[in-house]
Amino acid sequence: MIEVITLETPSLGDRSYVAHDGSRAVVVDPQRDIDRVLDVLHERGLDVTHVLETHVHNDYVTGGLALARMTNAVYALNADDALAFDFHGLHDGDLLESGLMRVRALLTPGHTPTHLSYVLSDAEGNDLGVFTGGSMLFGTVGRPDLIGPHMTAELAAKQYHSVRRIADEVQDAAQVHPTHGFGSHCSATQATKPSSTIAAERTDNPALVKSEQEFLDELFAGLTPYPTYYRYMGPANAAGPAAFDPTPPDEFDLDRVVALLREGAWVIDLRNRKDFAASFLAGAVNAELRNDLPNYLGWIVPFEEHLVLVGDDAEVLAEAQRMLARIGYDRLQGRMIAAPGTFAGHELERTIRVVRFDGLEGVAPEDRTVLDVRDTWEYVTGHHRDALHIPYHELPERVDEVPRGRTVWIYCATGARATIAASFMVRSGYDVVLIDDFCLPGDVPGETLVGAGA
Amino acid sequence: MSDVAKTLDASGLACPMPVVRTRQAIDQIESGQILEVISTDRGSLQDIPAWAESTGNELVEKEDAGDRFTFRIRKA
Repeated sequence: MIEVITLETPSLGDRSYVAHDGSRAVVVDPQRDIDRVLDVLHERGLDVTHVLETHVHNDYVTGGLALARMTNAVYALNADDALAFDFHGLHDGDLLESGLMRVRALLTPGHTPTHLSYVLSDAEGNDLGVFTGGSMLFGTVGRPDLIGPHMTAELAAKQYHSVRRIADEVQDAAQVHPTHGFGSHCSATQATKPSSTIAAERTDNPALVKSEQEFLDELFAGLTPYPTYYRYMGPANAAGPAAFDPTPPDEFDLDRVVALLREGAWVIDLRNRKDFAASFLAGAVNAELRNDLPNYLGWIVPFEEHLVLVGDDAEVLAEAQRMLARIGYDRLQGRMIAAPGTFAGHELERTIRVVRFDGLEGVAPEDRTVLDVRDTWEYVTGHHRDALHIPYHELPERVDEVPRGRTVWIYCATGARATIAASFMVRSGYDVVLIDDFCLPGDVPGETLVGAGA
Repeated sequence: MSDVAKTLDASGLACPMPVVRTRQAIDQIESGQILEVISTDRGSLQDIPAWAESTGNELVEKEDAGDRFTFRIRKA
């Protein structure tokens, strides 16, 4: 009985897969923390014959090479991928055997130039599933603009034909198993269903229901920004990344953390925004342990930096370490557990005032800057009448546009990005107030908010 | 639950979309009816209760299944 097990990584919006026949297994697009894959293999007593990558990933560091080496499995990618290590190079149409399973490589460029999809069949020739990586996603497609602006138009057109090729060459009953599309910025839009088949995609996938021109127009119009750390993932994956090492970094005391902060180190404080705002060390960046932590930190923390993690307990620190290692931030200098009151009275101790929008009432406009850090698509649906708009991900490059000498009142849609941005602004030498409130598309413009186009 | 008037599956969506969709969905039910929201974004554990409170809607139930979160909100 052939089965496909899905491993979810909600913090990146990605899925990995283990296909097996009860004794042999094929692993597709494993994340860096392969202990999760090994657990599945051990529980079921499976031997891995092949570790397959649909493409050289742009949004995470792969665990594929490390897993293949650890299990003596074949590590396979497109033969045209330029990698710094030996691997099994596949060509369009190549067939692999693993126990009762058959896997056929299909060249499906679009998300990347050398992207492969893998059709999983039984020995009788029934297609059971297709691992589509960043090509055919649930009701959408993988974005074509991650390789570089010079390639985007060409890759977008290829993507359209690749999705059509999958639909033409894979049997209707086959389950679609994409890697992206579950919150990942690699997806053009987000999936709205938990599973799909080739038959269902025939009526749901824009590449299958629209003309090529309509498809391309919509695709280009919908592309949102993606995290700056993405540019480091391709080179990291081509170099052959080591396995995730869950060993905690050294535990630092307060003096050590303060000394590092004074040297400009990036200290990531994982406590919730209210505890952070009540007492923190100037220069620390506040990023709560949420699914979006890697994306949001990957936008503002320089990739080469050695980080210090601060959190409430060892569990939070371990989870953050894992989330960050998945995107290659594994240069951790140390960690510190911050009990309540740890920073009280210290000369670097700071606080941030936390208010709702009504906190702005009565503050003279000349005394404040209101900073909206939402994406442009959100901003245009309505914003504070005096807002200076700098999307969150542009803040590191554009922080100097924020006038000095006035308090900066920061908001986003839910408070999550504003929280990180507020601590980043303190680090950049500003006096800030965090507006921990909601400003969602469609919120009725009132006294403080103005509508689209205003 | 029998008195859920509408279910919104926001699985796979990242911040701010679970709250954005919740806000849209609540406009489609009547006062007193219950909206059920399913999310896989851990941030929702914080955002959805806070949003309900700030808008005067009542969070009647919150389930945390580790990687899947369910909320039931009674529209004000």
